[in-house]
Amino acid sequence: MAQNPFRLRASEQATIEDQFLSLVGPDVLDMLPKDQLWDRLLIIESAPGAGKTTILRLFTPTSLRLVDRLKEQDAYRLLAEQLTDIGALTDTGPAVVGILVSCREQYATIQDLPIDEHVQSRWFFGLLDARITLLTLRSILALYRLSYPRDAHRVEFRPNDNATVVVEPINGAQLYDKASRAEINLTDSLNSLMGVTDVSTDLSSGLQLPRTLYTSDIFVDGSRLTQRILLMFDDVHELTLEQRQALRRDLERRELTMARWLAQRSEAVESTEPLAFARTEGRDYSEIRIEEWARTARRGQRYLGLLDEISNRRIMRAQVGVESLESCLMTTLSTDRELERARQARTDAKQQAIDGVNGQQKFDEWVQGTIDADSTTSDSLKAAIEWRKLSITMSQRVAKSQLPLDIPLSVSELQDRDSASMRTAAELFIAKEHRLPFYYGIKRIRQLSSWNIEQFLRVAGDLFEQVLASVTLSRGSVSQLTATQQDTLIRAVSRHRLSVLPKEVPYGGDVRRLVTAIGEFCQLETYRPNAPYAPGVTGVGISESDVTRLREAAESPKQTPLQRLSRVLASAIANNILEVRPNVNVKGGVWTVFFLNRLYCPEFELPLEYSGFKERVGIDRLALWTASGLESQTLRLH
Amino acid sequence: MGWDGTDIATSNTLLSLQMLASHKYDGYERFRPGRKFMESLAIWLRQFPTVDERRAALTFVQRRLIFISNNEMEQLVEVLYPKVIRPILRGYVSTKLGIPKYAVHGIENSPEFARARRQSLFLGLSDGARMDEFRRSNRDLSTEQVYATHEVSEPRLVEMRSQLLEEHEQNESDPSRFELVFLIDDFAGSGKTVLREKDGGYLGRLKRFSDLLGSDSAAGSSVFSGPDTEIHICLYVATRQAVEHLNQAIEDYTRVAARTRPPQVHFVQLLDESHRIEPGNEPQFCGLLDDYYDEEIEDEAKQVGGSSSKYGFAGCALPLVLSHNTPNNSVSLLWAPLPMQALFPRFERHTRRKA
Amino acid sequence: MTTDVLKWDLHYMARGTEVKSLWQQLMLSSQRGLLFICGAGFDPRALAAVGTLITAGVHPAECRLIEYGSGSGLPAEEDVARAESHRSQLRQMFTGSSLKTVAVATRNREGRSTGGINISAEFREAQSYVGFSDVVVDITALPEELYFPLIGTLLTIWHSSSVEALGLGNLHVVVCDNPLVDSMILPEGGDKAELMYGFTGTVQRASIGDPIPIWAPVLGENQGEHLQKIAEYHRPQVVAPVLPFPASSPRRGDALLLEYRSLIFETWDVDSSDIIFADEQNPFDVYAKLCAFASDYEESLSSIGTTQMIVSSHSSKLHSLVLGQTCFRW
Repeated sequence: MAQNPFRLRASEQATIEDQFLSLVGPDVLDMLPKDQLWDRLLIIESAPGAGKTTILRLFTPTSLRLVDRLKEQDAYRLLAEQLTDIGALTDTGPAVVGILVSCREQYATIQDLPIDEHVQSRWFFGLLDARITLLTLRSILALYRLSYPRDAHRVEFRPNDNATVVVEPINGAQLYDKASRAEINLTDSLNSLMGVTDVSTDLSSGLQLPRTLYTSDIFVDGSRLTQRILLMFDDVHELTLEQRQALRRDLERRELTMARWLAQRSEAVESTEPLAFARTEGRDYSEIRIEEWARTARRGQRYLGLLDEISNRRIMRAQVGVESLESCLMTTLSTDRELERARQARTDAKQQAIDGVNGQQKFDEWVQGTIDADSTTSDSLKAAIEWRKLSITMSQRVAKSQLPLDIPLSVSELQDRDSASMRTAAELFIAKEHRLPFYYGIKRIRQLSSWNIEQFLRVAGDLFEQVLASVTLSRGSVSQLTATQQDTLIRAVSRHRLSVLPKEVPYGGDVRRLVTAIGEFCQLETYRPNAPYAPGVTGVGISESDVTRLREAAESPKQTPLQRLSRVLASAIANNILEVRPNVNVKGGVWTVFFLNRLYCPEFELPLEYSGFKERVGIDRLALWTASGLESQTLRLH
Repeated sequence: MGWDGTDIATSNTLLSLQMLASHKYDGYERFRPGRKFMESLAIWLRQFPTVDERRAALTFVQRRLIFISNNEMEQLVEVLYPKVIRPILRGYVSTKLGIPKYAVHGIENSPEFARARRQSLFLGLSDGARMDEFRRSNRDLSTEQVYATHEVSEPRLVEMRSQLLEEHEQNESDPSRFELVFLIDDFAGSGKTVLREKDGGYLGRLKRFSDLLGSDSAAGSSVFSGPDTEIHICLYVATRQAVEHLNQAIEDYTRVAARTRPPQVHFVQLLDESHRIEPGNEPQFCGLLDDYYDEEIEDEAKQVGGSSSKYGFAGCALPLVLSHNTPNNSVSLLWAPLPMQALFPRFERHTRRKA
Repeated sequence: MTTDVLKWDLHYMARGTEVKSLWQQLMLSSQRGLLFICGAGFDPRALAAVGTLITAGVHPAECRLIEYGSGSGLPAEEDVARAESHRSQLRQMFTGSSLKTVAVATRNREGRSTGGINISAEFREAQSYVGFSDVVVDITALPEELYFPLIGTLLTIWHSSSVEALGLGNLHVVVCDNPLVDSMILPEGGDKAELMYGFTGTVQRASIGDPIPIWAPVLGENQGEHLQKIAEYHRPQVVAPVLPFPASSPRRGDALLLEYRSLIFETWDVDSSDIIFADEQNPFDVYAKLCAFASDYEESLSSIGTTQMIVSSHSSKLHSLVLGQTCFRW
């Protein structure tokens, strides 16, 4: 049975290095700021599934060695070049020893124990230090293909010029013994069902290993390690706030010589954490947000290139005679039923437009233009869209003269409500009115990814499964998925994702209610006859003062509807269910906008562009939606 | 394979079937190379002329078919001892020692427990009983107490007797007779092969073993402890119908045969009434059973069941396939060679004699 | 309902009507009082066990009622109402000082789960069990994050020398199990898989060379998201799903395979021979199967690295109960 290549463990979960590498394209490295990698603290933020861990794993010795070994092969050549370019590989092999440290929950638990704050801090650093030490040894040994921990004694830390006091060289085995004892003591005590026991190791209030690395040179079997040490802390958001701050303070120290990266989930509403540290003398760290990168990179097609590359790499693995995902997808209507409905749509839309003109001469030119366009095409859908566009434009004219107060808004990145947006709106209307497919074709599939690689892979995997079924049954010949097949499947996926929210994320029930209410609300706004926000509304905006109120509610110990909303928003944002855009300037105001993740748009028949959002929704209304959904009286907003 | 299935199945259905095929169904021992499950399914479905019929047949396979794979059967063999037999032994010892059943530590560490275990004889009722596997998965049983067949020959009885006597002489506390007998079988659909009434008398494997017990106690130095011998019938898979039939038949037979201890019936996997295929719950598929039934499949052996084999032997109406063969208690369309090719062709043990 | 006198290899399991007679026999042989520990939850089966006890003529001398805060947001109104009605019924059964309430906070302000730490702290004093001939823990109305550490803590006490020194009585665990009801209770998700307090084993220990995580999820319905999160967390190299067989419906295993087809055969690439069957009705079979599985793998992989067995239950409470023991062993 052929395997669906999109269902292989997502790249971050692949356990075998070569399997992992075969799924990673060189483009992922584009996300890194090349000139800021090695000399300061680098903070990488993204929603889950955007590829953080994938990037980090590339820099571990096993991965680098493998890329180095396979760099003559086509699949790895570009990746090797990119790695060389940023200084991670040289002709002689890896130039970096990456040490990947996961910050998952065990550390946070320390702060829940009934012990003194200072002791908690010491335990935290003690455990982290022990782990970094052990992982450093493990990585160095991996670089030399030695066995961990058996060969630890072959590593030696000898004091260098930076050492201010005279110290003896330390042998790797001693270091291992000490660190593993500390790790065992601390974890045992942490997990003891019989209560916290006294841990009698000498624990300090900061990380020791970076200091050791600064004051020593590393030797393996007597020869000096020339590779650069890179400490990579993954899942830093799993630490408590205090731990995060302490760790960051510790790693920001300028005198540290090793490269250090922190990767964490973006939690935009996490109001209590100051975004910038109170240091005025210039930033000692750089920060990248992967979604921001993807949004800006989209213009240069780099992000889309990344998605294509990833999907094509996977399809190649499946070896079913398919070259790309794109080639499996129909881009036009093709079945008899689709074509019949499109013909009907053309007739209806034309009639609707002519009825709408109702003899008014001011529309004559428009009508004539549309008639001309209609007569030159045999594509019924295209003609229907033109006619529908005419109707919408005419209602806009009418609406504008009657309701001057409610003028549509759109985001700066799609400022021009150009004819493309109008055409999409018209297509959406036609699709809804005549039950024609809308969500099909590679472009819209890519849009559904919401800047998230894993999400893209999941949708692509669902589509590819259908392709695969046809391949296995027809013994080889590949049939393309029709527009309707794609559309049906995507709507089903959208509905499913929404239905599993309660189980997927913290406060999931509330998150689903809020997302559903926002979706239904956007639908109402999108399908107003004059399509005021063409191609449609897919988000809600709140004012600056509302953001402040939300922040205050989040910090207050009182349980209020606003506090509940703040938790729900935090969960939705951290899990990439709502995409937040702070500081959007429109209509003389500054708004924080919450867009729906694109995957939820099909369920509400919304467009996939980040176009319109509805401002002035107000957090009290959002709080109400969170508690009880969109109510009928709230539909009349104006 | 010619049939692309798209007229009745979605891609998800097909991939699901394919998964079950490679994971389970292809292990059916009566399939031939080149004609495994998916091929057999395609051929089977194609024989129904209309789309509705094909859909009804496929729906039956998807929703109702119960296929017990070889791995699953092994699991049933493996749990028989801990789930069924060990509690029986504990109960036996608990009564003997007069201590409560839950005092498991006391019971299992007592010499009586070890003794009761050695005083147990395990016999297969058919080839399907997998007695080799049963013995291998229970290392504290000795080879002298596990046998593939319940029809113990005279020389074998003599051998058992001398073995027991030898152990008894070496150690006074060791048993000299079997006090518990476990008769093990893989499957009972109607229970009639184990025990059934005919013309005022009784037939079946239990009856034959019971006769053996009788002649044993009549013999000079017996292997079994006479009418006190506990008999337990242990079935890996049993229908509720079979269990009820056996309980009733055993009650009647015990009265007739004037035995003191009625044999008890135990099972590992029960198939309850909800699995029966009946017009009430499967009207479409039952329509197919009516339309595609050929009397030619009946023979003398099947007539024992008392009804036609359309709904399987003895009207059991099962949707069941066992990895080594399809029981004739299952609905005929699954296994019968007529009037069309079967989805899971059945191997007939006896040569067919026309009724 | 099932009662276990917890002994690993030697266990006694009573179910259904056997339970009542077990209690009666048990109380005849014991002279002192019985301590009953249970949760104040909304689970419809919350009071079934104590009801059985009382109808069997055994009235516990003391009841310790665990009050736990709901994990996320505001619980549904009918749940609150049902939990409250359970509480008031208990108050009627146990008057005066014989009913003690133990409050356990399950989340801290940052939303981290703290139930394990707190419940373990509340029940770790061996002295508090002196004077009872039997201690019965009813886990029916307790969530997994509480009853695992609770049983773990009690077992640690009962395995220590305190038992002899203080003369502690029997320890029983009761669960009113109904896979159907369990599958109807939909847990609201966390966004990540968490290790159970007290049961972390050697997972995450950096001092271990080349750890090979192997994972045996005991499958139940509607758990796809949860399963995925655990897999993402542990990145197991071997996945061995546990299917219920024998089972009340022999098709249940197939249905689970179909529900998780894509996860099992595509994402995790499970080999058919790594699928484990375990008796749906007998947690001790699950226990035995997992032990055997772990030791098989430990043996065959010992030359490559150290295996780390990870078990997780997505099935009924009855099954997950035994996982506490499995975790406890490693």
